[in-house]
Parts: sequence; C-alpha cells; structure tokens
Amino acid sequence: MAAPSARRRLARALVAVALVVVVTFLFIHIVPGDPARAILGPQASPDAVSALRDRLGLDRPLLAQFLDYLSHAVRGDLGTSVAEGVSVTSLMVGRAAPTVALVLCSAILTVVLTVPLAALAARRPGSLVDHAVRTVPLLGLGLPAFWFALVLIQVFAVRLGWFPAGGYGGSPLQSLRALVLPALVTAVSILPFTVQSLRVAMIEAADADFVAAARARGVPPWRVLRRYVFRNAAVPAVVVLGLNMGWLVGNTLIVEKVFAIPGVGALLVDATLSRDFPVVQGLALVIALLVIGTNLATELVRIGLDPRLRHGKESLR
Amino acid sequence: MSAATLAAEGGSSRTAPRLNGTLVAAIAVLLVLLAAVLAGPRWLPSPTEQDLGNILAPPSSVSPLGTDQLGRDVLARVLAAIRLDLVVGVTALLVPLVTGSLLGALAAWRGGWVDEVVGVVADVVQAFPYYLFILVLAFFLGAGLSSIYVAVAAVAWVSYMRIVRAEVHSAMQQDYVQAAVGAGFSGSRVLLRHVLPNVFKQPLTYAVTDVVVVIVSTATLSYLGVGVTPPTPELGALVSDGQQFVTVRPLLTVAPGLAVVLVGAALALLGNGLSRQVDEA
Repeated sequence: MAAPSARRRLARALVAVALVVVVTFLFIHIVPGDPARAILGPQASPDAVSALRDRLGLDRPLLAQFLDYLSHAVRGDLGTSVAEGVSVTSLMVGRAAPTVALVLCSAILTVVLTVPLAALAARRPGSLVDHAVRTVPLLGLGLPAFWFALVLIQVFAVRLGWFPAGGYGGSPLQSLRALVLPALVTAVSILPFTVQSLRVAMIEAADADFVAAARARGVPPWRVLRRYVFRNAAVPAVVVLGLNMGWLVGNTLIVEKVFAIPGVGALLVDATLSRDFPVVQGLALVIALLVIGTNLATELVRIGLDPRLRHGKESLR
Repeated sequence: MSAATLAAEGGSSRTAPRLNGTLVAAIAVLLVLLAAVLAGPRWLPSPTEQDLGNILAPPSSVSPLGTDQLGRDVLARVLAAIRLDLVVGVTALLVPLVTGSLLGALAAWRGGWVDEVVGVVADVVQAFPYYLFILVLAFFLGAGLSSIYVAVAAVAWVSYMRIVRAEVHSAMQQDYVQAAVGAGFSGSRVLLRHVLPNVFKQPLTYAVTDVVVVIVSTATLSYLGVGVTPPTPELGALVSDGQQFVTVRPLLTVAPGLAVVLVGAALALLGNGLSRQVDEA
C-alpha cells in the first residue's frame, strides 16, 4: 500500500509510538519528590526507600535510565512487580485471556446492537423512530459503567440468578456466561457513538446514486437496504468500532473490577490502588501501543477500501 | 470519533419544533435539579451530620430517602454530591476548553509543522484510554479532586482542539476571512476578531456534553477510591458506600446512581439540543 496518505498515517503512528515510550518512561519522574517514596508510601523506612531507588536505578542519569528502559522494553522485559515479585510481562500474559475474551464479546455485542438500531433510524431520517434511536443512547452517556454493572448484578445475578455475579473461569461455557453482563455494560457504554456514526454512514450510503438507481429499477426497499446500503455502510461500521477501541478498552478496566474478572484491567486498577508502579507503567505502555496499532490498522483498512481516500485529502475523524 | 460528532449532529428543519421540546425539557430538569441542590440544605439536615441512634432508617417524612450507615440523611448527601459533581464537571473543563480551542485555532491557522506537532501530541494522549490516563495520574498525584482536575486538563483538550481546528479550517475558506486578509489585517487580528467569534459556539456546545463525561469519570474514580475522599459526599463514593448495604437498603446505591444518570441525561440532551440550534442558525 504505497498510497501517500497511508504512508503519512504510518509515519505519524511511529512518532506516536516513540512518544508513548518516552511518556511512560517519564511517568515516574513527573512526581514531585522521590518516586521511590511515592511508590512505598509515607510509612516506609528510609532503608526500604533507598533499596527501591537502587532496584529501579533512580540515581543514575536520566538518559542512562531511559536507554535501559528502552532496551529492556524492546526485549519484552517490563520490570518486576513491587507487590508480587513476578515479572510484569508474565503477570500480564497470565491475565490476558479474560480481557481478550471480554473485549471480543463486547465488540460482537456492540455490532449486534448497533447495526439494527442504526438501520432502523436511517430508514426514515427525521421520523419518530429515528429520534428515539438517537435520543435514548444519548441518555446512556451519563450512565456510569460501574453503577450499571451493580444494577445488572443485583437484578440478573442476585435476584433472577440467570448469570453469575462475577468471576471468570471453569469451562469455556461458564466463562462465556460470566461475560454476558460485563460485555453488555461495555457495549452499552459505546453504543451512543457507534449508533450515531453508523446512522450517518447509512444515510449517506442511501443518498448515493446507485441506491437511487436501484430504487428506480423497482428493487424492493428492504432489499435496497440490505444489498446496497448495508454493504456500503459496513466499512464505516468497522472503522467506528476500531476508532472506539481505546474507549472500549478503558471501560473494561472498570467493568473487570466490578465483575471481579481476573483480567488485565482489574490488574491495572489494583496496581494503581496498591501503588505497584512497574505494573502500572508496563500495562500503560502495552495498552497504549495496542490502541495506536488498532487505530492505525483501522485507518489503513479504510484507506485500502476507499479509493477516494488513497490520494485525496485527509478526511476528518 | 467522539461525543463531538454525536452532539454536533444536525436535524432537518421539519423536526425543529420537537427538538426545541427536548431542549425545553432538558432545561426544565436542570432548573429543578439546581433548585433542589440550592434549596435542599435549608430544609434538610447537614449532609455530614451523623445520628448513630438512627442508622439505615427507611424513607420517612423527616428523611425522604432514609439514612445511611452513620445515620446521615441520604437525600441531603445526594444533593450535596450533585452540587459537587456539577461544580467539578464545569470548572474542570474551563482549562482544556481554552487550551484546546487555542491550539486548534493555531494548528489550523499556521498549518505545516505546528499542525503536525499538535496532531501527534493529540494522538499520543488518545492512545491512552481515558480511564487509564486518569488512573495513572491519580496514582501519582494521590486521591483527591486535584488529580481529577489535572487529568481532565491533560485529556479533554484534544476534542476541543479537533473541533476548533476543523471549524477554523472551513472558516478560512469563507469570503469574510479572505476579505479581512485581503484588507491587510494582521494574522492575529483576523484570527481573534474575525474567525474566533464565528467558531466559538461549537466547542461551547460540545463542552455541555463533555461535562457529563467528566461527572461520570469523577464518580467512577471516587467509586474506585482514587477520586474524592470521604466524608465529602460525591455520587460515585456514595454508591461505593451504599454497596455493602444493597440487600437491606438498595436506595443507598440506587439513589446516587440515578442522580448521575439524571444529571447526565439532562446535560446530554441540553448539549444535543444546543448544538442543533447552533447548526441551524
């Protein structure tokens, strides 16, 4: 893919990766005062603080520290957890499966909920149904994920007993059942964005000449929607999902914590609460790189699929 | 993709009366909430006053929502928390609204490397999921409101930058700007006197919707124990407090959560209605 806009995207993503590495390295140095003291808290003994300073190499020149961080990170070594004494990478790998499963389930559920809602709204722009579909998700903007999760747990787990109240594991089927409510919470939190964008994309696709031509040929309305509008709106749908990946992943932090899912998100929240710096730093780096990667892939897919973008002007996100 | 496109999405003129209805409803709900928040303390006990002889009381004429585990009036605490969250939501956005708008105007106006630098920095900020960024900052700055202010200032400017950048870009194609440039006015004069007055409405209406995001994240951080610290009443902290009594007194968890939803819904509808008005004007 030698398109100029694709190359520009790639270059920009590489710069962003470099900056993310620098920023995550500097995390520890932006704290006023002694970082080792910040990690251990005010009750720690001076000996413990200086031992940690030694271990983290905080007394060496900043540049040497950075090169050290970089060379280790490139080899997949993100340091050792202060709390658990295990390498951050192995902690992360051990906790990855539930998070990947949750993100996948949420993404699938988001698509399943978004497509019919957007289609319903786009069918008659300006109608009452369109208004309802556009207004109701807007209300979801103020729905806190943690509270929605608590309500779902009370209703569907405690009262009705349809789903477990939390946790993950056992057989794959049990895990899947445990993911239904968490995936619902995450999906609902990004639904306002995805429905809105897909609706616009569908209305635009419906305005296209080939749709008018199909209608003029007497193709039945639902068939027009399915064959012509849907297919052309599918690309924007994927793009919307890709670009919202960061928001989706951010919400899994909260959702995993509330549903006690032993994933990467819960690990990050716990590490923050227990002031386990290397874990926070390592996870922040990996998650940020994944988000940049997803966004880049999404942009490249979009550029690859839409010939107009290949040479043309930058489109606004 | 952000709440910007969500809020800035226009409707057809045929549906204008109904849109105004939403706007009126949103304003009415907000006014009622404001009245309750401001007048509540006159009729209700202090939100921090404990009464250990009257804990976890059911709703009564004295305490319409009952009392919590320390005998504090739940309604008084929820109202005080709504007030705090609204204040945080609005004031935390002032800095990113200004910095983001200025950076966006600058990026569009100067173009070239300035535009690229601002764009890459925005990409980096957005590479960190919102909650991750806020959590990491809370990690360093410690629990408390100041972390929330710093985190919002560090993250939220990106939306305003993108909105204003796009607006200034399109304004620069307009005849009135071309005329001002042609008349020989200085760049800063054209930008401040001609362009900015015509593009400031979009970031402002977006900010109304953005307040919802700040309120929800303040509540979330406080729920997790890294936001507002007790005994200050904050909606997320109230949910977290009430959670252990959810089987006995579900109201302790339900009321503050519903308050977030209500405030959020009213503000989201207000922002949406306002942006449609702006688009139609």
